[in-house]
Amino acid sequence: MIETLFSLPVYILMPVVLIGYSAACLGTGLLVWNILLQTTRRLDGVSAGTILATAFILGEGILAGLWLFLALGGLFIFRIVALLSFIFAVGGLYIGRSILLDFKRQAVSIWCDLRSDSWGWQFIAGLTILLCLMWFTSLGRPLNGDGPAFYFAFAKIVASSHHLIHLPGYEGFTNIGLLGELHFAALMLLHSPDAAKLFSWPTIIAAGIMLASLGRVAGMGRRGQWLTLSILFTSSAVIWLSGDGKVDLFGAVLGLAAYYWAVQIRFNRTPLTLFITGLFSGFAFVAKLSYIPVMVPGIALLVLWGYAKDFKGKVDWLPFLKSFMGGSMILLAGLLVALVPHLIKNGVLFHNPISPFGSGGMGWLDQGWFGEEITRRIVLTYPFALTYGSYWAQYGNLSPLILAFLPLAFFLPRPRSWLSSPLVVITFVALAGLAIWVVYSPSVFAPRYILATLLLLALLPACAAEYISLADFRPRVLTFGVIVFTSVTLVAFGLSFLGVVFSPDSTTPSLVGTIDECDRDGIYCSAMQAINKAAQPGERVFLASYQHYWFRGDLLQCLSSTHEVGDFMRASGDDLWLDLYKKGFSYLFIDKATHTAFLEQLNVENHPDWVNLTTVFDQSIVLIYRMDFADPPTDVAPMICQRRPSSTIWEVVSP
Amino acid sequence: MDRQLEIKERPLPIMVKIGVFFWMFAVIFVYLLLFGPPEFWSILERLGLGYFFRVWRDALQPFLTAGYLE
Repeated sequence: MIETLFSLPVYILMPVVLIGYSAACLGTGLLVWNILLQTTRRLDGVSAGTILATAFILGEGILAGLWLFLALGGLFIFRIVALLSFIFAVGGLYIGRSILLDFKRQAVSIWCDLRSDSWGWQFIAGLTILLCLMWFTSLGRPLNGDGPAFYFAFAKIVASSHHLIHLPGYEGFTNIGLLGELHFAALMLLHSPDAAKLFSWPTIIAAGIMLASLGRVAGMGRRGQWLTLSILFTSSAVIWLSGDGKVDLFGAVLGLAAYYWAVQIRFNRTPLTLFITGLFSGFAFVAKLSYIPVMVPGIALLVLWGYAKDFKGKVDWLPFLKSFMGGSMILLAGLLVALVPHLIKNGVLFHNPISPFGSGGMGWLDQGWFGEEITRRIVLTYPFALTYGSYWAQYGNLSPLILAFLPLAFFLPRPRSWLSSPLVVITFVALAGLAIWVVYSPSVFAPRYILATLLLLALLPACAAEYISLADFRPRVLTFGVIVFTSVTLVAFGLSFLGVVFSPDSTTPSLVGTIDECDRDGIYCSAMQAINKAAQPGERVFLASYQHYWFRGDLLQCLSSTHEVGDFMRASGDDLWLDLYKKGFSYLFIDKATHTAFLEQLNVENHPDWVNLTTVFDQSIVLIYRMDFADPPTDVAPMICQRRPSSTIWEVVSP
Repeated sequence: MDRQLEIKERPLPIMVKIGVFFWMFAVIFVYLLLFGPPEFWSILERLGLGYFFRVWRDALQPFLTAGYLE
């Protein structure tokens, strides 16, 4: 029965798994939300849409923690994950049915407001929704880069081994938070890597709702919220993350939720808001460690702002201090709850809960991407670099609409008090976060590292553009400009990414199943499939490539480790081949685009007589040899990769 | 529609409006020069401005691009 279900075509299986798993995230969040709601009487000014987006994001954080514990205990198996997902989806949606009904009413109200607005705004809203819907078509986008190198490959190794184990070649990297990767792993376990690829879609929708909700708190109306969403979907730093297997969006959506609820502390200071601010902050730090230096001061500022009214003209300090300390403790408790699974994971795997801090493998934390001159140029050209830059590994920009609408902020009415304006405070928090990043890591220029903070910068221009659209008098040049330039940008974005991220040629064939994974993903997939077909269970591949994802589960676990690659690089001459023999490798996989040094070091043309090389694959940039050893000059028996008794874990051992 | 912002009648000088409009135009136009779709370039070509703006783009790009460890 289950086998029949999973042999359904992609266009049925993938949406079912994606919708079902998203419902599980939403349901989990609603269950927890309902429990937390017991601690508070009422929340003012929080819409049903915001609560649903909050619940979805909360569910993402909590389920990732749950999957982490299951994987640590070796219980990350299909039956448990599917059963829990089903229970959470059904239970949560049943408990949260009144919120869903409220959301239906809210959606109708948004639709009515839009219908009563001018055609120009309807056009902008329509284009924004269209761009959002286009994310679905990224299914046909080839997987390449960091996704199949680590994030997707790690998810596959967890899904196939049912345990949380290191990915050979990236052992030291497993100390990062694995929030997004565990969702990918769960979706792979549910037989849909395609749903894992598209899980960024519900995630970005939740991010859009949180950002628009922040806009509402900052004083925006519907037009401003549509503009905020237009800015979100015309930021290439966001669009490039559609269906590419990277995990940066998880950090962004959790960060936005943390900012939203931190702002709410001022208007709805309850144990609930304090706790989930801490919870979301912790999840965001786990999802992307780069948020720690940027978000900690911002969240602290927003919490202080939340308490600012009590602070004013205070004579008796004791009750205030008690309330502030109590609130801070609740927030810290939330933070700790979010961090605990991550700390336990690092404690178990690295014997250091706070790894990579205090561990040897901190190299990736201390990065420098450019020399002094380029770094100075980047720093001096903010915000233009954020809008127009195409630096190495930048991976996208912020929307040009932010820069375009920025001067309109001068026309906004001056708030009665700067500090009482949420818009001013949120913008200040964003600018402070950006400034901290520039000081902390000026040479790492990647908007995706601090995306949540950067997206807050969308609110001021969107708010100003909305204001001008309402307050501009004849000739309405600026209103015309806002509508025309937003529309042009939305159309240009759709066209620019069409065929690349949105609706690539392989989308429809992928959906109907007329092409396979390798037709879509290209040479690395084909090369690894060639080994998958030929290799016996547990045969070892010496991998000289960053890419991992397409290997079979057992082969993935038996790949060359970082330590073994290091040994190889230190050896020379016949010792290299002897080393490969002793470690039990049967295949050599060389990526000529990135690892030519290996090929030169091996000197394949002059290999020893006792090594027999057979070419398994030689196309474009990938070269694969099968190695057979006849009478090697050593008595040492080669190591083998074998499956542990009654386990799904493969390990390399001496015979 | 906005219900929260306080709208004040404060007519803006026409030159300010034109200045800000031009800024918006310039920002989006430069973005399209650097990252615009082929359709944008075919419009410029039809207007006979393709070569002129390609020169501008090629002059601008090096200031916003750099490779690893450059």
